[in-house]
Amino acid sequence: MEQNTLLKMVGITKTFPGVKALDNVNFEVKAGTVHALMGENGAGKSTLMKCLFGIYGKDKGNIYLDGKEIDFKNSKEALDHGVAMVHQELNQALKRSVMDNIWLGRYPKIGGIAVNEKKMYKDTMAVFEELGINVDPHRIMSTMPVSQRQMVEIAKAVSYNSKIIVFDEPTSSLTEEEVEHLFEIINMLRSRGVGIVYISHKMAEIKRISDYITVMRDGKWVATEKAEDLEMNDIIRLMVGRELTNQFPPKTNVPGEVYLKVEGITGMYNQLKDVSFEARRGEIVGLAGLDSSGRTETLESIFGIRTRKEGKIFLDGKPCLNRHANESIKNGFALLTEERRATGIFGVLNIRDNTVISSLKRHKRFGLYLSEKSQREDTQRYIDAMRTKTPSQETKIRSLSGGNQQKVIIGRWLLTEPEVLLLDEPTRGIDVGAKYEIYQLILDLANKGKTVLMVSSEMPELLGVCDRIVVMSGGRVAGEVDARNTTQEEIMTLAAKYV
Amino acid sequence: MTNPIANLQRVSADYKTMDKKDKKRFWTDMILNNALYILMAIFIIYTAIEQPNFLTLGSFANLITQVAAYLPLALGIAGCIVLTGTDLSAGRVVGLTAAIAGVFMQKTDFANKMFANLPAINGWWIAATLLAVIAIGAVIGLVNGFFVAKFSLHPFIVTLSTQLITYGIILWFFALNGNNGQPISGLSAEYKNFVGGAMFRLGGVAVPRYVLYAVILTALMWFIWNKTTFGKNMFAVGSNAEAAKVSGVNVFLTTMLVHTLAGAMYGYAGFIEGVRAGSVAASTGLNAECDAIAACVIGGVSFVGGTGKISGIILGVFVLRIIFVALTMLGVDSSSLYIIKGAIILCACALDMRKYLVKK
Amino acid sequence: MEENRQNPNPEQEQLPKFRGLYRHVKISVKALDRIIVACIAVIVILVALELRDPGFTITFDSRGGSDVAPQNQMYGELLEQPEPPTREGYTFTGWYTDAACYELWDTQNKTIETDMTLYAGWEKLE
Repeated sequence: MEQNTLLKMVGITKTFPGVKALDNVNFEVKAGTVHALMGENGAGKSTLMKCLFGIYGKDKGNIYLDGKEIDFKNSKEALDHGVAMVHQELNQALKRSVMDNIWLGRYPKIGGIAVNEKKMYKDTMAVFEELGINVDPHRIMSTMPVSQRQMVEIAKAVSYNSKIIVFDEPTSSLTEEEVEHLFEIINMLRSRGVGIVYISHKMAEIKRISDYITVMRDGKWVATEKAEDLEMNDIIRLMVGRELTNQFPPKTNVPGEVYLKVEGITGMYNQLKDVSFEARRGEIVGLAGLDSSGRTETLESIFGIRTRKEGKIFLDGKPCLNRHANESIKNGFALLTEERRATGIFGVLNIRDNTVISSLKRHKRFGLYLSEKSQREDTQRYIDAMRTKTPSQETKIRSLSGGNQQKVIIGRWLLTEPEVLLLDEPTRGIDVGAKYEIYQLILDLANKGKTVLMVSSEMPELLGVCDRIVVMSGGRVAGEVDARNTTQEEIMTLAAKYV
Repeated sequence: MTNPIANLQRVSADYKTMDKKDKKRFWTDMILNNALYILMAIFIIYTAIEQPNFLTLGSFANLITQVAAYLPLALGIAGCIVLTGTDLSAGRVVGLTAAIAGVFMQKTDFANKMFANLPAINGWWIAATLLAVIAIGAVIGLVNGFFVAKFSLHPFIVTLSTQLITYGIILWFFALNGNNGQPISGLSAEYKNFVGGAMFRLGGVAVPRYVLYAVILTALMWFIWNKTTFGKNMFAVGSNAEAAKVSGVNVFLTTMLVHTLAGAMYGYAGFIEGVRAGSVAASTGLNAECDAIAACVIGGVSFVGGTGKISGIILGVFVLRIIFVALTMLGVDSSSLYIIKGAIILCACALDMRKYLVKK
Repeated sequence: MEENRQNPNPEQEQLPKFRGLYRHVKISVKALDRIIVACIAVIVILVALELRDPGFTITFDSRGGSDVAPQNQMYGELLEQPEPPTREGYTFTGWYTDAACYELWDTQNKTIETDMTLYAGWEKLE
């Protein structure tokens, strides 16, 4: 089948003060194909798309849609021309109904004044039926889970008769089942001749869904290949620019005696029910499970920032209360939160302030003031130890990449000299190269006899790094498996036990 | 970024590489971001031409006296702004504490004394009064902080209520002992000397003692903000309260303390306000928080939260005062000054937001 | 590329939620530029209007006595000694800044700093 080129971006260049974000990038999408756009963080995928939608003005280059040159001023104009984007962060009017959101800004009118609710409802249902979405158009957005809101966003794009739809990390908040549904929709759109741009970090998905893969690195176009011609390792090699023989560092840690024991944790305001497990010194225990299976809640309950109704925590056989974060830190716990931007970093503060905030006591002199010198030394020590890439200690943390931000936060916690590390999605939103370094860090900690609890949604990561995996399901512990001789299938079966 | 010369060189090197369009954008950015400073410069130049006695030592002494009077409030409110809040009760707290200090400090032989049987005014009594009004301010701040921290209410709402409540207390106070709302005057010479006594003269204008007090307070605040656990925690909470909580910062205590400290500053400001104005009326301190907030925002204490420097606050107060001194000398009357003040606040917030958006 | 997952769990435990006043502000830089320019324009126009008629107006409220003409003075100048008003059955005690006649305005030494109204003080003749 001869596929004609729908979208063509030629020689796109974009410079920000001091950085060449895009350097002569070419990219094209054929009708009826899924074109995956891949690259590490900061490779320029988002910038390229922002240039397409006119959020950034491009410095050089041309964009052609259906052979005609275009230059959109904003995403509304793009939408009117049939170029839509399903954002990773949904921008929706949450207090309005589903159909209001879909027809926002172009309500069908009766006599040019009154909104034609009936037509709106009918049209919405038509689109939903087409896509196999089962949502009441009158439902208020905020009452729906994120996955359904995303479906609405897709429906909106379809309702504009879009020729090009860009999916930016669409599966990051979806369950397996919802991902399947999304792929069905994407397949259907493809068969209708829509050109799809698919941005994602998840290799397995990309291999499954896409026809073509374009890899970018450091703002440059690296390669465009047919998906079947590329193996997972090839993609990683192209993205990183070097051979990555192993995704995970060799496991060297030796678990010792039982250190942390959690007994019957039941949540006050969440779904946790009778969660019990134990972890040894020098052991890395993974917490697996679907979204909202209570993995995050378990860590946060142990750390004392969620209220427990029942349950005890024993450290080395001695009970400890962990009523609030401060007490937990004193007891030697550290929690790396899941949402780095929301509950991890202090965006406007510099790296030094971000590093020392949990260990200010170390720097106190005469019980009065904080020594600038010792703060500087501690920060430098951890910048060096983690190989954090930063111009200086005074750099604001939000200007660092995700991986480097994560390193700073890990440094913050290591300064509190913890014995138990609770890591919630430690590698989320971090590019492949940096992930390896984080894994190495986790293993080093275990080698030093620390106990590590790690939550992750990426199964291979859990299998590659952990010694033991506790699988959670519906707020309960569904089972425990040895990471060395288990399979993804076994874990998935356990994860579905109480759903 | 710390070295201004290197910074300038970097900017000029960047500038040379720009094309025409970027150069235009560079200049609009430059002019808009510094709009208030440019405005100030124009006023200074114009006033200097029109009023020869504007650029004199005496007028400078007048300026620093005014800055010293407005600085404590701005220093107090800045903490609340760093926490992404604000404090609307500041002006009324100043009014209340000024009234209380005024009553305690009335001349022993003054005919219309509100309370007849107060002790004679000496150093101890002045010190006790000062501590008392600071404590009163701190208690009101504590109430603000408690409601903000405990119930996660927005500071706008909490401090708006305390503003009204405090005003009610002020009106009560002025009606005590058959005073019937009359201003409190007849302040004792000892009190006037302690607060406003001349330290030295600049160009024939006396520089009062409270300039020295303001310098001490500023140094103290700088220390608290930059060198203490409390200061670090304050910036952390302002930047990201949830992350602060996870990091083991006591968000509740920090919020309470910031508001309490702010209240203590208003208490001190009230103590000097009576002497500055000569007498205390029920309207004393009205809208004082607007000046303070404007100064903070001009000085780069952003409503984004978590950012701000003491030096910025001082600069902000200076800019605002210079503009007002210049306008007063030009003969712009006070009703227009209110409108100008409003426009400056709006402009400063828009500028602050602009910087935030452009950076993002 | 940041993955910022929205938490669908409404029972998220309470944490202080106000993070920055500009968090949800949706306004373009262009619009802000206009606001800034408009504000500056308002300031400049007001000042220009004021400068056409510079100085401060001091009005005299003789409170039952004979009328006294208002004066226009520049900043830092002394009041021109006004003619004392007269009132039958009273003696004039001076000009006061407040209607209750507590704060006497020292016409010899006090300089004008703003618009104001001065009130005549009267003492009843025995």
